[in-house]
Amino acid sequence: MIKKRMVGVITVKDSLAVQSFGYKTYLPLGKPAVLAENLDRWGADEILLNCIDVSSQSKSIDLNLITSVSKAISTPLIYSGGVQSPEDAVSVVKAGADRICLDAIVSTDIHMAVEISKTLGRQAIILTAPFTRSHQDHFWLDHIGCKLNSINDLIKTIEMDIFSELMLVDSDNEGIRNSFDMSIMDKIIPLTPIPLILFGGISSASQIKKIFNIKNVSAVGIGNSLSYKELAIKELKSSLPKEWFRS
Amino acid sequence: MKRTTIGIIDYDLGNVQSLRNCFKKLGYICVFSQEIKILKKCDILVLPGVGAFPPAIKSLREKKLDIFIQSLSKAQSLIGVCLGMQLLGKSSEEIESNKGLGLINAKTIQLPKNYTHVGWNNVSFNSKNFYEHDQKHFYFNHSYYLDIPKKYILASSRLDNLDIEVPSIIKKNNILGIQFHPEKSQARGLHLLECLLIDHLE
Repeated sequence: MIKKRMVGVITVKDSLAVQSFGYKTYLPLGKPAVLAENLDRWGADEILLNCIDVSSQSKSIDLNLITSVSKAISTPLIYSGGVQSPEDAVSVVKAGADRICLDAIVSTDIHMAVEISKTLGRQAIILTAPFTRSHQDHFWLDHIGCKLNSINDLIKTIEMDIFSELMLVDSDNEGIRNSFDMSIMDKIIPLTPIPLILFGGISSASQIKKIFNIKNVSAVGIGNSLSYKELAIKELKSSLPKEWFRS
Repeated sequence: MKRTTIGIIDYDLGNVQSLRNCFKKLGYICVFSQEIKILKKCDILVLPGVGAFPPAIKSLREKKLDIFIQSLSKAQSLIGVCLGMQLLGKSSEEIESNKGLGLINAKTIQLPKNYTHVGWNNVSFNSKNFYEHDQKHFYFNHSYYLDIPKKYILASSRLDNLDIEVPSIIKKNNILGIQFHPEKSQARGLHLLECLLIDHLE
């Protein structure tokens, strides 16, 4: 039986791991490879290296950073940030990532996203969908084009069948404890069976319990709250049903 | 005593960093190359894989590594990991129809209902040699699998929501295939890989 996953998220800005508060203010934490090594040792089920300034500032992907993290761990590594072509995707995998997240490219050039998926295989591709709430409705946020897309647009993109999982990122609540906006699930779950990774404002065991009781949710991403406490992952897992997690 | 040398086949696709780390931790000499003269000197060859079947087989053919792998002597062992295991079969239906390396009489087919097998799943072993690893969890990441005769299956994993079992480890003579990623399955994966290598080399 496939187990639920706790994904340790390392947010990277200017090649440094940072604690993010709503992607607006940042606190430096140190070298990403050191944080990754800790998450690996503490029992994260996957690690997400989330390089937030690569897409938005047109920087090139830091392959050396990916390699340094990959060398430090034996946990599956997901990379996110600035993958724009099949060549980028292959370079990222060769540098040490197992899966990649596609975000901005899906809005700007969906045909390129299709080519990336054909190159790496659907299993290696995660669609990252930041969402925001405005006028009592949810929108899929295109932070590069500064546009709000509808949830129906998101569902149409998922139906192209080029992604293995959908990572829903609560942009409004990232960096705020126990604040993930669960009402988004009412919009997504009835429309698609794609496995979901939820990220942004997820930290407590009671919150994760509610989330993992939803069948479609395969994983949660946890960032800030894992970086300050050595046994945080073990403590979270021990207060949740044992059968949800790998032994 | 001569140390075993492992050659990871470089065909421009795949995450080899973790495999290299793994073999080095286990004390093997590990080289990473697409040079046939270098690979010929290795005791064990490893065909890694993160990617889709069509670009992978195309790249192997372009580098003439397909012919080299197909003509391996029995003195050399071959291990295919994930996509590397699927490449060992006769054909694949991933994206388009393609011939594989044809070392095993098996076809790579899509998991039902467009399912993607991602995450940690338990592995059931058919051999008593691996009882300590039976039902332990390892990391999978694939949406196609090798449909192979039972006699070659050393271990399998159940996908409850599809009500099927997929081969997770296969063995035929000097060839071993591993569908999951032992190199990404932390200490438990490392230990299993060590046991598989010892058993395979015997």
